[in-house]
Amino acid sequence: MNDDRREGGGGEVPPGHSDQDDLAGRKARLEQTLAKVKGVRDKQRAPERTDFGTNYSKAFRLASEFTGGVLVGAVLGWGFDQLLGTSPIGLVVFLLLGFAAGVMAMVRTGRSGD
Amino acid sequence: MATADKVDPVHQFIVNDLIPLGRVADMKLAFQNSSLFMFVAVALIIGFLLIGTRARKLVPGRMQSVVEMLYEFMAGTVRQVLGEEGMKFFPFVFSLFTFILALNLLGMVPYFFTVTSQIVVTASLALLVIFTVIIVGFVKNGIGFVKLFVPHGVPMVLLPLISLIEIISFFARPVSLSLRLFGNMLAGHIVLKVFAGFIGTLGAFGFFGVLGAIAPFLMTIAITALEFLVAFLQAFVFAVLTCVYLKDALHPHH
Repeated sequence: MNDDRREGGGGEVPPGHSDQDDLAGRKARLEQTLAKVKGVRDKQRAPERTDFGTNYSKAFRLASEFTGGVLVGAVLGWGFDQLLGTSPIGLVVFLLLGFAAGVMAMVRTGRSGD
Repeated sequence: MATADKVDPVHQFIVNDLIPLGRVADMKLAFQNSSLFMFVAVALIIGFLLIGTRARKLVPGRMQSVVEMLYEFMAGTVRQVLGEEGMKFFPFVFSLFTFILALNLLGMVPYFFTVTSQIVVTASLALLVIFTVIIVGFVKNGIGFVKLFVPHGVPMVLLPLISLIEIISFFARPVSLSLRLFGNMLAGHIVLKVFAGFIGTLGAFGFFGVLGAIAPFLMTIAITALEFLVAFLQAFVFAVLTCVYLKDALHPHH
């Protein structure tokens, strides 16, 4: 295609000038098309994993971290009560501590960004 | 599955003894349907990886590129979280990821048993992770691993309280790790069964029942798609959190 043109238009215009213009024009067009295709592809690719996927998994991480903290606190408190016979006090104290631990773990996860 | 008038969404989680193996110290020992599916999962993973890498072409074929993608994906994740030195934990993390992923996906096949919906299994995996973290932490840092429970810049007065909270938070990790995987798989499969049960129940009410059954049918399709996503995501999250916890073992300062 390129050769065809050069041969056909060779006689009328200075060949070097026209060729370079042609090339620059094509390059610009190619870049434009590539950018468009890439933009579309990125847009297609991005939301699936980054938006929904990671947010969804992060939500589950936060929820389970909090639950885990409270549960561990409750079990530890109950265990202390069983061992030491301090019936409600251990459960109350460790439940609160577990609550604090759960919140702390959640805050840490929220800050870490991954 | 039960008939249309008797839908039992938790029937799928019953563990059956396939081959009884006698008793060990007053505990029943048997080869169960969960064991069977774990073996199937391991066989699938090994077969998949072996067949995929059999050709060893420079330009990979279809199977090989899937295997390579799986490898690159996990290797990238481990490198991103743990850095280059963490690559010695790559086999561990990769095994966990593929095992959980295979179990989750096997559970999506109708009539198959979902092993990861048993908290015994997920808790064992989580304990494996946390014991690895503790052992690696103490081997690498000696007693310095305890620094994990002593954050920087905390006043001496508050230190015992904060340390206690940190310790509870550390022990909450395996709990949250196992609960998340177990809860997701259990809840997802129950919801799936309940909606699928609606189709049969509504369909028994003649023409308008069948018309009404379209809604739960669409819902079942949507939830099935969501469950495939969850199956992958939960395996991925488990692997990522394993990396995050191992990072604490390698560098125990906040």
